[in-house]
Amino acid sequence: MNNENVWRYTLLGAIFSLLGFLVLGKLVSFQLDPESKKQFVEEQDKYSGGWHTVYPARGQITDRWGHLMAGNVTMYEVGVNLEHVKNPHTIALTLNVILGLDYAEIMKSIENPPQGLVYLVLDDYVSKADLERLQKYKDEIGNTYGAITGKDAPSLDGLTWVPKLQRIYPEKSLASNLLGFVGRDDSGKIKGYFGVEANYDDLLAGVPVTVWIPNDPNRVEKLPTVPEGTSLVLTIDREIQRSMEDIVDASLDETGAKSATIVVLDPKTGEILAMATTPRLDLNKYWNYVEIFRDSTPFNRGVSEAYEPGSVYKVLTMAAALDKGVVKPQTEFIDTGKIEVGGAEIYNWNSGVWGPQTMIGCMQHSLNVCLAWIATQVGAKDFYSYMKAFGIGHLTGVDLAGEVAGRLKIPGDTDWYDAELGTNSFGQGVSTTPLQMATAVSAIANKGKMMYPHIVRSIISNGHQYDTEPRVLSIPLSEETAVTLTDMLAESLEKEASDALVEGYRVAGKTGTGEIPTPYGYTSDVTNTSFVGWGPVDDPSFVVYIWLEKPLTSIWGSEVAAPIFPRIVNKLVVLMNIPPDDVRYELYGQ
Amino acid sequence: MKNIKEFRQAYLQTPWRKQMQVVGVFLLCLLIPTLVTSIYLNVTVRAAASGREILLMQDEIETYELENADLQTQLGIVTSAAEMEKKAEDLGFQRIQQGDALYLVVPGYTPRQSVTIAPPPKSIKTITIAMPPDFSQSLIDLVKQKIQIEALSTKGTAR
Repeated sequence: MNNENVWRYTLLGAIFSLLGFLVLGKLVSFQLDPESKKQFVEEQDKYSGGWHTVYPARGQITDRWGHLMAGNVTMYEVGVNLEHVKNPHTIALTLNVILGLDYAEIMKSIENPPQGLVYLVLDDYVSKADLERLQKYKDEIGNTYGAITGKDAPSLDGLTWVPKLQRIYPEKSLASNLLGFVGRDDSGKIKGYFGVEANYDDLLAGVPVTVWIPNDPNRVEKLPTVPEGTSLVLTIDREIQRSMEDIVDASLDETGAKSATIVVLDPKTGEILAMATTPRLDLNKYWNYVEIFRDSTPFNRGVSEAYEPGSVYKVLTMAAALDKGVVKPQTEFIDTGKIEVGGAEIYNWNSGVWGPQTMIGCMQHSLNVCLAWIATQVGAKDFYSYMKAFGIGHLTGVDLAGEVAGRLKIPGDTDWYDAELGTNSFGQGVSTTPLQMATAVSAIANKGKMMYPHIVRSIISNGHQYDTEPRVLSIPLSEETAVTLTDMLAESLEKEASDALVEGYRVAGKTGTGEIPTPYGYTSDVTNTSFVGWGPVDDPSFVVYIWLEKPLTSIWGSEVAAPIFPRIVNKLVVLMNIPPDDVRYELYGQ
Repeated sequence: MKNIKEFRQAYLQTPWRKQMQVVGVFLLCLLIPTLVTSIYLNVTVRAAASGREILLMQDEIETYELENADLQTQLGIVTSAAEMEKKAEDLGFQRIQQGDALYLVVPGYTPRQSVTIAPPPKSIKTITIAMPPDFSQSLIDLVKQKIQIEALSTKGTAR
């Protein structure tokens, strides 16, 4: 080695050594300084992958036979990756033609995006058919003009889409009041509204999982299993529900009523077989809700609207009296056409004097005076105990969103007066929902046991089906009383030759006409008309509750609500395979 | 001792032997890292390919799930109450009325049961999905496994 060059080599060596030490020193300082370390890790994470939220598919809802009532369908979010856009004009024009979006707005959005934005959503919930047309057109543009470069070359580069599931209701408005719908809240979060969708929102929605997806295939890990949202099998029968809705619509046309509601329960299990009411909504167009349900109209009158039921309530009063033993079916009452209870005078519906009547006669002619007398015989304390046992004034606990409890004033309440005992006995001064009344009466149809009313029959979660077991909600009366009262009410219908009688089937029931309270007193020219019935009396399979609000053709329940009952039963016996009584007895004998 | 001296003398007198030794050591040093690198690269490439395949399969699963949801909904739409009634009417059927039904005793008949979509929880069978060893085994494990497989296959074919 030439001695003259030694210093050069030494200098170079020193410089490289120094650089090496500097790099080493910096590396050590990064390791020791937590802030620098954190910053580097963050930078690394930014480019090494991304967080991805996996939303489980919302659970399906079917009727008791498995017919789909609520499912999911793929829709698309269409957007642009701004940094890949080559020709905004092509994108705007394409979306204008295929999706009907505003050309100028798209151009403005793409050319002047908000600061720092890399992705822009242009349209949401685009149908699969539209997206296929978009895809086809994008491919054609790519094939035709892909090789051409230049600013003006047609290009859909940057246009992208992401699939997502959207709720769909194949039956449209059928059972809409029970199902509810899925929309977005103010924060844009998907949420169930009303009915089953709201009540079981958390279960149906499932639990979204956020996972880190690395870009480096070496770091790929198994995605966590994200279970689908829980699916529900309802207790309703699609065909029964449909028939009830048809009858509800027909009864509105025939009577001019403001609204109509029908509840059908299985008294042995508390299963809701159908609940039809008005108005109804095509759930696939849920945004029409505001227009259809104006002026605080409840979404489901069956559970969300309480009213004074009138004489159908006499069934509960009579049940209390029979169960306490203060009267028997043949107990005689002499109707003088007037009775005073708590200082208030009570008259019959026609202000008539009906003379000597048995308890069956009192129910047959729906005598207010007789029932008020019965309530006084039971006594306020026991009367209200019975009413509470029937669930009046309390939520039934049905698994539907928006249930209201109604109102039962009881002794001790500041607004309860002695006269309430008399008026409550025939269903005035007390408010209930149709479901509450149907549930209470189901105790009589089910030999004294009141079952918990419910709409969900099974829950399908994590691949397993969990069936709900019928539960007893209360036992307000004895089996003997229930059977006696059922027989009394069947006989009273037969003696009255009521329009509610059903050919071939022995049924029990009671009509009701309730005056409507207003700030100026009760109305007599407009009423709430109702009917509650069940059958076949020897082995009841259904309880039906009918409510027509303010009918125009007649103010009497016996004239507008009662005739609907046989139409309902004629549908039910076919759909539920219930043979006529004589055929059943014959078949039992074989 | 004399023999060793003679051997050393002979070695010193032939320098190509020493050059061969140096070249040999150099090649050895080159060969071992090359071998290790090659094996490492091979495994890495395979792991990367598997990872990529998993990502694609996950995408595929998502696509199938969406398709499945669509098909179920499509089925729900074509069998909806209104559609079924229309089809039945087109085929000449009409709704049965209460008086039209004829009831017979059918021995062994069981009434229609409500739908069973999934098995009840009693029949739960624990299925353990094992992660493939490719995800967890080390390079040494892989080599061992290959040797064992090779040995077994040799045994199997020996006569």
